[in-house]
Amino acid sequence: MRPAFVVVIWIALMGGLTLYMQSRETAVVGESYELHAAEGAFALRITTTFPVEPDPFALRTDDREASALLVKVNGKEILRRTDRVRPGEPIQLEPVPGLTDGRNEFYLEANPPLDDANLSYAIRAQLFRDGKLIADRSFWSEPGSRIASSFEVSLAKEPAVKDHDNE
Amino acid sequence: MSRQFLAMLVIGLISAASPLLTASASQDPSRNKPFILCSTTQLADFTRQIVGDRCRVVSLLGAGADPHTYMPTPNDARLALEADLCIQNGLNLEGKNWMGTLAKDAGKPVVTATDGLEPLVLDEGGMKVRDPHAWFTPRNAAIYVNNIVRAVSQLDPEEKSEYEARAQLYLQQLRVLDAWIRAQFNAIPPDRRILVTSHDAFNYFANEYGFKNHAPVGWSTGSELGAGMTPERRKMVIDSIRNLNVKAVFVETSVNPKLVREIAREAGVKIGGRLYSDSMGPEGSAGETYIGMMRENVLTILHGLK
Repeated sequence: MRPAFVVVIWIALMGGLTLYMQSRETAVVGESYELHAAEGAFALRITTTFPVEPDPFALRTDDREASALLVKVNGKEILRRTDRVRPGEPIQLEPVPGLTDGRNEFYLEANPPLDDANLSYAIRAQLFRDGKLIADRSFWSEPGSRIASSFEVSLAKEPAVKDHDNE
Repeated sequence: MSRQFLAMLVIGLISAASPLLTASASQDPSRNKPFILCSTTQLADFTRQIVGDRCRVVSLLGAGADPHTYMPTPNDARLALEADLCIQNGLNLEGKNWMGTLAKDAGKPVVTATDGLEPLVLDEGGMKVRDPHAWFTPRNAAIYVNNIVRAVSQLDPEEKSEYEARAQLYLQQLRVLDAWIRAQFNAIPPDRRILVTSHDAFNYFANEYGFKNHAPVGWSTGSELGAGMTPERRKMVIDSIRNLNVKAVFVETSVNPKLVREIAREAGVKIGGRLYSDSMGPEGSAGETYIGMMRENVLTILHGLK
């Protein structure tokens, strides 16, 4: 009787341990919430003080060409230029996909030429909503390095907007 | 009776737990990691920058070793058998293809880090030879890094995003290194940018940063065609030093300095210092990483030629 009892306890313990190990590996799924697309007609204008060139130091794990200029919104790529962009030539993106009510983060990456390693360069990003300028940010590179910066824009349901810098 | 019950309970618990205990005891972390075997110290450094502690990385060549003349040992063959991936420089840096042969004999995949790179072609007495010393520009080092990150991501796809994130950071460090080198050499007038070294390893470096390069020994220190030292090359180097009013010549860490010392004495110039060439510095030295090696070389050249 007692040996059978030990076996039962052993099975119960092992079963409990196995269940615990399995449940530990199950990822905890966070509470999901819906993102609403921001209302209005948005346009993004980018202007650089330098010739933007494809980056010879880019990570290239697929067949895509190295980017010269890259813009992401909330982690999603919305603009990718692989050709040379002349300085002062504005690049207009309209509409701007991926904007939602609430906080949005823009990420900009631009590659200056390697030859002028002593110079710092600037890039300007302007965001328009229904033709009205709602965010205007400029970023500077360290000499020799590329520009990689982000900034945050809060979009209220009504087109009244706050602009936060998050470089 | 209760003792018997307790004893049986303890035995039951121990026997139940024993598979767990033995499993954890046998988990030697370095043994379970993917094992990457590299031919040179530079390749091993690039790979470590990408994989972090996720993989075990070993360089067959030690600090100061010469890849052109290296002879693999039985221990190298054992390491190749253990490896999950082998990485070589290619372009005949590994004299007589020793790394490719080791990997092939062990039946292991081998990746060539210079794939996709446009090699410099040297004219060695009418013979066209592809220069293997491509890592000497950070721009080419970025090609090495991209080839390695693709290979390790294929080897261990679960950690791909982590490898790519590390590679992205390292590539930006290479970009900053390149800018820093350009800024440093701006202090040397272009007419004085003449680099005389032991063997012809600095062509990529010289082309990228506006130097003229001379060496008494050809592209390899081994016995390949177009390699080694000839009396004509030696005379040409001494003439260049005199004609171009060269201030200093440089010895290399992986090549016997005797020849360059003789040339310096004959031409009446000083030794500017030791440059890391075909392999990096030993652990604990300033040249133990690729970035450190390049930084120290630049500072040595600056100091010698200023």
